[in-house]
Amino acid sequence: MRPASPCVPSSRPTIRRKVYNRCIGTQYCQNNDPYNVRFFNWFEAALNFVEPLANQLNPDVTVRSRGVMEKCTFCVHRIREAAADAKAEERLLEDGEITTACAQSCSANVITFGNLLDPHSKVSTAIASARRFRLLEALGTEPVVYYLKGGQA
Amino acid sequence: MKLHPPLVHGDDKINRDILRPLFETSWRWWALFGLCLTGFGAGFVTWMWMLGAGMWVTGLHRPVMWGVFIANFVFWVGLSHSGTLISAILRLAKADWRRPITRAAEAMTVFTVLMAAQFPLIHLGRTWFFYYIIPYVNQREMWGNFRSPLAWDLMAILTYLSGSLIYLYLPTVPDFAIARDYATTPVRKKLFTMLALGWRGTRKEWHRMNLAILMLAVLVLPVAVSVHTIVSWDFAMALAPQWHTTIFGPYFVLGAIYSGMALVVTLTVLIRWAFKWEDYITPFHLDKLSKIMLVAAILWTYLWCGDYLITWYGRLPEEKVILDIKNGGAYFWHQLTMMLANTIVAIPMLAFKKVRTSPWALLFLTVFINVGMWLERYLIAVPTLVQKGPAYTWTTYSPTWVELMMSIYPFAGFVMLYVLFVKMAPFISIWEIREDRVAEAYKTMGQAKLRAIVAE
Repeated sequence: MRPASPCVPSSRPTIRRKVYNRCIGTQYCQNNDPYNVRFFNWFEAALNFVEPLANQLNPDVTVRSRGVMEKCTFCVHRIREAAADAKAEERLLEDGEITTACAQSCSANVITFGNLLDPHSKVSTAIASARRFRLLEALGTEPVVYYLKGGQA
Repeated sequence: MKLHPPLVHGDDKINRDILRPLFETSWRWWALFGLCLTGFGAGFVTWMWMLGAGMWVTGLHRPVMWGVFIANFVFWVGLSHSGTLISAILRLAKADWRRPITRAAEAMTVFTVLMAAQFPLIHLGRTWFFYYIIPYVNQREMWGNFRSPLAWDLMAILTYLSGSLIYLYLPTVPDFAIARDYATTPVRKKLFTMLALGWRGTRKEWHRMNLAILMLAVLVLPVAVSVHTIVSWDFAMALAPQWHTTIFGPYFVLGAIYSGMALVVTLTVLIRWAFKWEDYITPFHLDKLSKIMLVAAILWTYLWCGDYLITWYGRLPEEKVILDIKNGGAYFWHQLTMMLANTIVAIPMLAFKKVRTSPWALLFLTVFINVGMWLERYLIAVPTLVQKGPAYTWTTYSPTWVELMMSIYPFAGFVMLYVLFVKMAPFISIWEIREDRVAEAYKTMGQAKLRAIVAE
């Protein structure tokens, strides 16, 4: 619901994407977000790195300026890259080809990322469990993030 | 100072009384202007400093992203409402008692909207890109998001601002012509000649102006109602507890009329005292204004209770936690003061004619009402954000000195523009007063005593 439309709407369950360059920082999305998962850039990014430390910045991700609201992108740059590779090789994406940075770095392997529309993917088998739930489901926001609670499978 | 003798403008005493502030400036005016300029300047410097430093200097933090700035915005948009109400509704209803008050009320509308319109900009994270919201054809192929209430807000407020500006200027043209003919110094003569647009007072001119005012009154009314409804949608369209309610539209409009009426009365009392216009603004006018205020107070209380009752009776857990902090938690005193100011004290006091006709009691009461209305806006914006969503994100909010400065800023700015306007235009509509006196006069025809002019 951003007034300057940095948020790209979509009718099917997907990642809520934002175009950070268009964000003017009304902070309205935080009010609309029942999960409170938006983050505001209070400060300008510290970019005065001594070479070669600037190389630690991810070349696929824009540096967001001060005054912009941001949220998790589900590492959309990784998804785009893998999708482009698959298209170039004229094949479909395989399960497990893409993973998010948080899932990759999680030592306890808590997070699974994959295609919910593919019934055989790792994530689909995981959430077939009766232990699955979604946050604030009653609001009808159809979140695509599933959790598994404790108890028997 | 010596004024030119009246040429064709009839009642010399009215003209001189009302034009006096235009030509004579006392040290008190300079003192007030200086004070307001200081406050406005300090607020402006704070704003510019905040633009450079970043929003972290405010008390805002996730998830409380809307705080005092938005409360101020809603408050000032609300204040702007009654200028149009008094002027347009009463003009259409041919309520003649509105005449000495319309100009002051219309000017109030314009200046309060000007102050309100700055707050969405003040609170933007990237103010320098504010124009991204404006729908215009550009090489970046960008277009605002019309599904966002904030985009509607922009359009509504700009429409209202331009509409009320014309609505203020148009009926002032004949008065500018009077000021032009009375002006002595060449600078003033030139200024008022320019503002009077060559007004000569021919029959055709009067006819066209009356028609234009009538049309504008009809056009500006729905805009006035829609502006505050749209401001309420900023909240009501969000999926947040206590905001997501259909009552917000009428509730906001009534709250706006209520606080606006209170400000009109405050200003009327002060103007009457400052310029010694007791002959023009009488307790009769204050009584009428206060009656509208009383109706607004009762309706506002009714809608507030309606909203409260449904939330309380519904007992949704998400809404109840917010109700609880208003009823007994961090916002208890805010809510109590608001209820005292807007309902418990205001309604019984306004019920007495003695209060309604006593300027100083009204001054105290209306300022108190507006303190309550400011708290009401604060109570709408903040408690919801403090405890909305998953409980691990709940927090508190305390404004910093930046928010304090930015709350002084519109007050100082509004009073500054208002006192500048005193020097720019006759503050009571001279021609409308005179029209009224002519219409009120009686003529004898044979044995019958008839009104000189029968209203259409």
